[in-house]
Amino acid sequence: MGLFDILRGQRAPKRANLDNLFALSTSALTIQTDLGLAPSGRAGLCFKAIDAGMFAELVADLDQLLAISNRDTGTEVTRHADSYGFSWIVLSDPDLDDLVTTTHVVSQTMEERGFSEQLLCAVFGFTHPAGDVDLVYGYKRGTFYPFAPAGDKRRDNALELRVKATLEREMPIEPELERWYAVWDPPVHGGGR
Amino acid sequence: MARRLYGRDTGLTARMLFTMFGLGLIYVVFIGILIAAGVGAIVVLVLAGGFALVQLLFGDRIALASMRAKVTTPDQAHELHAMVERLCQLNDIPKPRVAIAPTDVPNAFAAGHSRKTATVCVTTGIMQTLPPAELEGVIAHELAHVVNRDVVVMTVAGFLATVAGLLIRFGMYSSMGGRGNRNQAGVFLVVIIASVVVYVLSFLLLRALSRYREYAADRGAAMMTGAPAQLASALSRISGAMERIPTRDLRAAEGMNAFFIIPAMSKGVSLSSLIATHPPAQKRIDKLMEMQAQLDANPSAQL
Repeated sequence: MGLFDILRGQRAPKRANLDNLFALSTSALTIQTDLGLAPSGRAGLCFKAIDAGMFAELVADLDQLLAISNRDTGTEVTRHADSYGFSWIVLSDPDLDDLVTTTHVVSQTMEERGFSEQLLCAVFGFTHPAGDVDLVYGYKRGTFYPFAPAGDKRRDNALELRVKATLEREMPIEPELERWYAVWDPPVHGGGR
Repeated sequence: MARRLYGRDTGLTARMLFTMFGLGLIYVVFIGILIAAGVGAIVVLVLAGGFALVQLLFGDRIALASMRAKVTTPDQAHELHAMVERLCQLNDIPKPRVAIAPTDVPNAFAAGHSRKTATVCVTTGIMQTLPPAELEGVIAHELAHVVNRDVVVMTVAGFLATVAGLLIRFGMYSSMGGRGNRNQAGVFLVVIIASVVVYVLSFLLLRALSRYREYAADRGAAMMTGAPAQLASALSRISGAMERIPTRDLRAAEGMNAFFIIPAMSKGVSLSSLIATHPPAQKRIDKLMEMQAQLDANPSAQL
């Protein structure tokens, strides 16, 4: 933020960066073989809903768009609202590449409609023998970071740092650890949740 | 580049810059008078500068201590931290410290001059009074203060008023204690009058600047949350609740007014709009609802 922005007390809204999303596809082999993480088959886009009629229209259009891509790839789409006032579009597909591609399509559609600033993060679910490990893509930073919940709002930091050490050569991993924001109970794990 | 329609208010920017320009102009004139009068200006300026620096460096600790506020960890206030974190992630802002002040006065303020010391403080009262969506609007307003560096801006702007205030005393002590001739006494008289005029003007301009910064923070909050109506609703709820809070508590909180989201005013005290640190709640609510109307009409305007 420049001096002029500070003086006038305004700041240009931060837009989403989608460029690095596909790094997940290219690193898929390392994630699965070197780290032993298995895709949960689900990904979730988390965004802030705004109080406006047009936003509802956008979501309806997205549903239609995804219904078409659904036929091609077999990706299933559900919607989810969380207790923090954020909305999720949850994609289910056993193929990780399809998940990444569809996530990119949805993100891009939202961006084209001018809702770039509403995008918070995309969460890709993985499981590890030690527990769930999610890879979170922060749209505003354009980086991934690992999130390994260990029950009772605690995180398995050792596992997260291991994921970082293995992946940082191949993927853009968020360098500032204080920006590894927790995403509790993301709707990207199957079963009873 | 896509921008929200309410992302700009040229009039507000112009007024704010004009105010700051006015402050700077007065500063220059003031220095000129000092030099013409031949006062030991450097000594005074160093003192005032030191004072402003102390205020800047320790202001956050003083503010938090005076409210008996405690900086919390995510474990201690999970929901609050989650709310702050999501707003920070959404807007790519470094997360500030999060503090809670144990008082029933429903209020919130931002403190700290740097990225490391930036603190957003909410009272237990505001957490009880507001539903989560409205609390989010209030926190976004305080985050906007942090992003806009309002603590630094107001401290630097206040530096001038401090200089003038110090000089009044300096001039008085010197003229009373000095053995000087009539010429020197005349010089001091000029200095004192100049200081008083400068002080009054800078005071009014400071207050105006503070009010403009509030509008700017409201606007910033609206852009962060995408829901101006949330903050508007919070403001009306707080301003309504403020009148029903016991006066003793309010008086204790009055020193903190400059950084509060709505100033705590004792009943019966009416400040003229010229010297208030905050614009009237109703005006702020009107502006926010205007933004909401623009947003509803055209949620993804290209400017």
